[in-house]
Amino acid sequence: MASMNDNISSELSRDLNLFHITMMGLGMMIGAGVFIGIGNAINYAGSGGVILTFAFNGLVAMFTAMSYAELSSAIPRAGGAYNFARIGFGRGTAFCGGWMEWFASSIAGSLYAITLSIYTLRCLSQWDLLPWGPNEIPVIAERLMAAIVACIFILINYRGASETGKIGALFTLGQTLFLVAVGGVGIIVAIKDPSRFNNFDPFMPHGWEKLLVTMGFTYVAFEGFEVIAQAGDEVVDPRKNLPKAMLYSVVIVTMTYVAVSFAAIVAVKAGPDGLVALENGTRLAPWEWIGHYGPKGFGEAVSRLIPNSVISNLLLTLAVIFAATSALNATIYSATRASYALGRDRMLPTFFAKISPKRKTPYIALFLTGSLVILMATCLPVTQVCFLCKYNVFVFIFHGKCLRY
Amino acid sequence: MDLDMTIGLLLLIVSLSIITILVYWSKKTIDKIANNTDNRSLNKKQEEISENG
Repeated sequence: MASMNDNISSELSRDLNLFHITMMGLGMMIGAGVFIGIGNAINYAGSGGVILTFAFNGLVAMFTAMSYAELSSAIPRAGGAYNFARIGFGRGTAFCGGWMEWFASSIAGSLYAITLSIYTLRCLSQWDLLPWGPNEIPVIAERLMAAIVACIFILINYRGASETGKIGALFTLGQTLFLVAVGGVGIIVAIKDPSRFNNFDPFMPHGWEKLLVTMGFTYVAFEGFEVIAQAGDEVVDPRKNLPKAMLYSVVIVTMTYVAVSFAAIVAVKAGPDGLVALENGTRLAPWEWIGHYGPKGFGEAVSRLIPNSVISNLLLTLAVIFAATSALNATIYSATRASYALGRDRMLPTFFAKISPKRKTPYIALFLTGSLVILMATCLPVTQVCFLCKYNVFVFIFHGKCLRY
Repeated sequence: MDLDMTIGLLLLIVSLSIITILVYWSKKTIDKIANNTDNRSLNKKQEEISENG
């Protein structure tokens, strides 16, 4: 039975509210990328550069989100960018866009399932709950765990949009609160010990041109609000809530990243000479010290904010697990709605658009998409999943950007 | 405070202010977007596509 909302017909149930879809966007944006990206960005752009990187990327993302918000408000239907291409450019472009959206989200889902599996098993191993050490976990156990977590989230998605939204919001809230807490502790530490502001000197050690480099590779941490457009058939008052959720998620994520990168810089306490010692005795400026650790730089810096190494490691692991969980939930949701939209418009067999009468979810699209996620998570080598994910997400984003302009 | 830091802080304040202003004005903008009747015709077009393929 079709429900009506603002004269927009939908066969799916409108159970999601503004909070659910904002959290869904945040869950996709705050992936594990930010934990890895901060250390690398500090290495390239220095202490001031990393903060400017996130502020400028936030501005770019905000303008992109405004464009996306207008399109989503105009066509508030499941399918997102595929719908925009269908109306703007016809079947051919929409066919490519829709397939890419479906495939890119499915591959990203399998990558998040593997990430979640690896970190969960390592966490269990550190607590001696597994017969293997953290670095001795067999690949088959990782893949089996990836399949299990993917199955759990497929079932959650099957139970309905409301359950999907609530579970996703819970995990996203957890990871966002962790990052906000890190940012808050960093600000308090800097206020209590103003000498830490000296860590920002020099502000741009490698020059301003490096800012463009770091903006390029950290922008991935701002991609993800597009998934909100997929909820057009399931959100209350979509014409207003879709654009609001996109803009709110971008502003929340920008402020959080700026605060967290600030905290990472001031977390490191330099000696009287303004330098910090590495394990081998080499003394470096605080930004060089964080940059020296590359992708692990953020973790090393945050561990300085929390003196107890066991607690800091546990919190970081939980933050990555929460990030991967909320992203996995959102990617399964997004990929399912993309294939549902393709089936609805006869770009895929029409059974993809079948709706469960009881749950009001596109169950065939969900189970076929879920099978694709599980197949890739269990059968492909991790490096190939990463490569496919990187390649497809790049092509998908490029395609989306072309459509918008 | 050197020149880089001064320019950097100014740019940081400007970019965060623009983002804040955009969100502050977003209610008005979103109402305008949501009530745009030209936009509504796009959704009707999408519904026709879904019905007719």
